[in-house]
This record gives sequence, structure tokens and C-alpha cells, in this order.
Amino acid sequence: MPPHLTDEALNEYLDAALPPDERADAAAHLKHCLPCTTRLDALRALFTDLAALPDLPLTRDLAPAVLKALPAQAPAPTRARRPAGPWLLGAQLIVAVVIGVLAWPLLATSLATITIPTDLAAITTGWLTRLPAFTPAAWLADAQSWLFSLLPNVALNFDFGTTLTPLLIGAAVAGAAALWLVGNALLLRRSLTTLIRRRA
Amino acid sequence: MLDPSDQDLVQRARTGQPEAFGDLVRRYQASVFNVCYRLLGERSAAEDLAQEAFIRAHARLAQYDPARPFGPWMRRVAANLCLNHLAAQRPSLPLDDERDQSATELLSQDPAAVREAAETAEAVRAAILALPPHYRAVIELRHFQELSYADIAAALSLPVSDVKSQLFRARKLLAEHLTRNA
Repeated sequence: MPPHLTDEALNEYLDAALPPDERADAAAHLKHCLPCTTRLDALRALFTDLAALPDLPLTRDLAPAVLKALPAQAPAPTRARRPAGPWLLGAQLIVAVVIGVLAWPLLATSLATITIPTDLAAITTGWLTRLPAFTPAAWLADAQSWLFSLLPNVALNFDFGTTLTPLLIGAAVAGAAALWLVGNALLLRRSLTTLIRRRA
Repeated sequence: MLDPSDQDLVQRARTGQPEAFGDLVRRYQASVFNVCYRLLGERSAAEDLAQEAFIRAHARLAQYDPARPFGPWMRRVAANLCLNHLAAQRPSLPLDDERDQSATELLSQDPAAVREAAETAEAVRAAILALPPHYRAVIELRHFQELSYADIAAALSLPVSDVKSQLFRARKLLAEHLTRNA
């Protein structure tokens, strides 16, 4: 008969932590070894006593005290922030429409002078015919000449006196940019806070 | 209507609804309290630390993985808190009189049938509390939280070999204590 099982082996046997082959060997040994079976039964009785240990009842509800202590540590509630989303989006939309209406005369004047479909068709045709000899330098030269062909049209046809003053245009663009930045910062504040907390 | 799942309540608590976390507290406070009581052996301290465990868990909700069950995670938070508490105060606390109340409650239901079980439970509690704190910890994590050796090792920052030796030694001491006081 092989030597008796160690205390460690008996513990691991009951914890189901022995590798399969060692567990099979231990089970085979236990079938024929009364001393080891007796030790195993004593250990199993301890397991049973621990498993049978009843829970004590709580005599008071912990929830009120826990909830009372929470606000100091609670994640910032989103309930108060929720209304800010639609309001902010609405404000952004209104401002965008106002800026669009104000900018329309400038855009209409500029767009009227650009014959984009014709220009594009001509450039595309030119590129296609030159495709076999295409080089990055040639492409840049074509793009540059097309852009320069547009700029004079825009500059010559833009009448600041009859549309918008440069100051008003600058203010509108700066205002739109500021609104966009502030609005997105407010909308993303919760995500940023969560990210910072996780990194901390 | 079905009760909301733990994950639903956690999600609501994460979005700033404290009443959802209150529901989680009511759902798990008994088991969390018992983790604390098994480790500390004193009702008042166990209630205080159970309460503190929930507050800490709420502060760490972002770290909780909703794919895993909430109860074991919550009990682990409580166990860690108690183990830190035990480490801070070296002498073991004496077993509190609540054990007698527990036994009395059982006896009042069916004295003849539950007397032996109540006495055994009382003896087991006393034996657990007679263990050094680090042995008490491995017994709690293995037998009551049903962690594997590897998980206990991770929870206690110990090698698996140390977990095994402490666990087996703790069981031996428990068995000796129970035999001596039988």
C-alpha cells in the first residue's frame, strides 16, 4: 500500500484543488486506507460545521446611515445636468441659424462667381488625360493653379460695404467658435470627470 | 413587477441616484454584516464596518465590473476593510454576547431540535475568533466567500503556497479548538 496521504493532500482533496491524476490516486487510496479515511472525515466535519454556521440577523437597517453619508463622496449626479443638454443644443442651433442668415449675403455673392462644375470638369478631364504622366509635383501645380483661379473671383466680387463689415464677420466667427467650445466642454464634462477619476 | 437587477441598481447609482444604492444596501447588508461579524466578533464594530464598507463600495463603483455578481464583490470590499481594521489593532476582540442571542433565538423556535446546532455554531464562531487574524482571513475567504487559492492569494497579496499553508494550519487549529471545547 502506498504511504498515507499528507494533511496537505487531504485539504486539497476536499478543496477540489488536486490535479485530476493526483485526485484519482487519492480517491483510490482512500478506498482502502482506514486511517486516511478517518482523517478525511474529521476534516470534512469541520467543513460541514463552517458551512452550517448561520448568519446573525441585523438589528437595524444600515441603508439610512449609508445614504446619509453618501453625498460627500457620491459621483456628481447627472440629474441636474440633464436639462443642460437640450437647452445648450437648442441655443447652439439658434445661434447657428442666426450666423447663417447673417453670412448668407456674403456666401451668395461669393458662390455666384464660382463656376465649380465647369472648373471641376475641366480639371478632372485634364488630370485624366495626364494620368499616365502623373507626379505629385504635377498634381500640386494643377491644384495650385485652380485655387489661384478662384481667389481673384472671390476677392473682386466681395463688397464689404454692401454686405458685412470685417469686424462683424470676425465677431460672428469668434462667437460661433467660442459657443462651440464652451458647449462641447459642458456636454462632455461628465465624461471628462469620469476619465480623470479613473486615472486618479 | 420584477425587482431591478443588481446591475440595474449599480448603473442607476453610478448616474447619481442614491436611492438605487440604498436598495443594494438593503439587499446585501445582512451578508456583509456577517462577513464583518465573523472577522471581528463584535456586533457594534461589525455594523460600523459594514456601513463603512458600503460607503467605500459606493465611492469605488466605477471600479466594479458589472459582468461579475455584485454580492461577492461587495463582501470582498467588506472583508478587506475588516482585515485592515484587524491589522491596525493587533489584539483579538473577545466574542460578543450576540452569540448568546443568536442561540437563544434558535432555541425559542424548537429547543430540542436546534440546541446542538446552536451550540455548535457558537463553538465554531468562538473557534474562528480564537484564530490569529491572518488565519481568520483565509478561513473567511475560502469557506464563506468561496474563493480559490489563487483568488485568496491575489486578495491578500500572498503567494499561493503561503495561502495553502495558512489555510491548512488554520483548519488544524479550528479542529483542535473544537475538539478541546467539545
